[in-house]
Amino acid sequence: MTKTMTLEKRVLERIKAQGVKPTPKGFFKARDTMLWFLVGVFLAALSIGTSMIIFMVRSADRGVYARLGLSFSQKLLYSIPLFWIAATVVVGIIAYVNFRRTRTGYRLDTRQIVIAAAIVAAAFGSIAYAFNISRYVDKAASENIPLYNAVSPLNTTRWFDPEHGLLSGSVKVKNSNASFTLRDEDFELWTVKAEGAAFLPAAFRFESGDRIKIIGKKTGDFQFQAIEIRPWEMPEARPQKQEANPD
Amino acid sequence: MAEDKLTAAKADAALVQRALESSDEFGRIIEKYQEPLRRYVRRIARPSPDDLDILLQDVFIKAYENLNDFDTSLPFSSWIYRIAHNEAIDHLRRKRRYAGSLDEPAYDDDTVALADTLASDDDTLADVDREYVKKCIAAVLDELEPKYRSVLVLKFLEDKDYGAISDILRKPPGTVATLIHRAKKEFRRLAEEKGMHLGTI
Repeated sequence: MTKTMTLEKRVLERIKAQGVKPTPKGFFKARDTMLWFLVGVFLAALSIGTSMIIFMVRSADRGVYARLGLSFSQKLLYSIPLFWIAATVVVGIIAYVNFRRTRTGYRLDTRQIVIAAAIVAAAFGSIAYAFNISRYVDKAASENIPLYNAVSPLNTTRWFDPEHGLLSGSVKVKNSNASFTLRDEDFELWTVKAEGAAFLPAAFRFESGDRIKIIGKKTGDFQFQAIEIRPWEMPEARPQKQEANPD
Repeated sequence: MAEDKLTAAKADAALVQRALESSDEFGRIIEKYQEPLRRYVRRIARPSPDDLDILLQDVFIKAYENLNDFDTSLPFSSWIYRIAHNEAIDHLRRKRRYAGSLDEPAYDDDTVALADTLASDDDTLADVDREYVKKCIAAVLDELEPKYRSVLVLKFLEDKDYGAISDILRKPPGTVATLIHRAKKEFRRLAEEKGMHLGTI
């Protein structure tokens, strides 16, 4: 009993001597709110990542891979949106860690959390894709993340392979529809002959300053013969097909 | 049973409220929980008597500092055990880092009950030298990883249910069940290595 009293007394004395006070409730509320906010942010990011995977898989320009002379395994690898899968996994792990740190986050097991997160990501990812958010994210990523252009299937690098008939860049000077100068991503100027070239979509026309993608043939140093010209950002895939094959 | 738990929860919530109003009232919480926590911390961290006293002081001071973080949807007991558990594990880590060894295992008579539980149903320890068994069990528990030792102590010595263990260790109930299963298996393996055959004693 003496020892019991001693501990109690010692603790209370230390509390008084050290001026220990209970941390205000507001601190814990702010911490909990911040954790849930982070969970929300990372779930949103997870959904965007999922929408990007959907976007990349659905809009992958597989016809172009044939021109690159890729093997089946290379084509398969190029068709997988590695950047977005990696980004989604990383974001998913951060969301998981934050959720686990919430007050009740420990009560669900990992499988339950993963299934719930996958459902949320698939649902909101599909909505984000349907509302074209993935298109804007793709553009922003391609303009701001150097790594993205190196690993994304629809990136500049893949569309800049003149030896295999792919050229991309901004139209510098448009003399006519049949001839124009194009500045590639390395700031080199190309003279492009476009007589008889098809436009995809058919109604597509470009002006100086527009970013375009060209399928054709390299005819000399910085000389290119265009066979098909596309805008850098393709409109929705389904409407294009309807345009190309009107009933 | 559920009514008892509800009454206990209300009583604890009232104690917390009073402690928030006056630090002297916190003494009642210390009075109520010091013995179970002393037992638990000793079983997990095996500190020296002096260290145990300081460790317990730290547990209660941390509890006092974090009183506003007490979630009334949890039993107070689970909440304060969680603090004690974390402190005990920290102590264990510090000790391992700096000393490289642990103090002599210190287990009480309840350790025999653990062996009884882990033995097969129709075998008991009644005919065995209980002191010898106690020492062996203490040695086996001592060799178990802290995660296994914690669940065994909470389940079989502290008599906590899966929900309470889940709240104390902040692990899903399913994981707790798996840990207990693995801990029992590991306990049996180590016991057999030491020549204790739980199925036959």
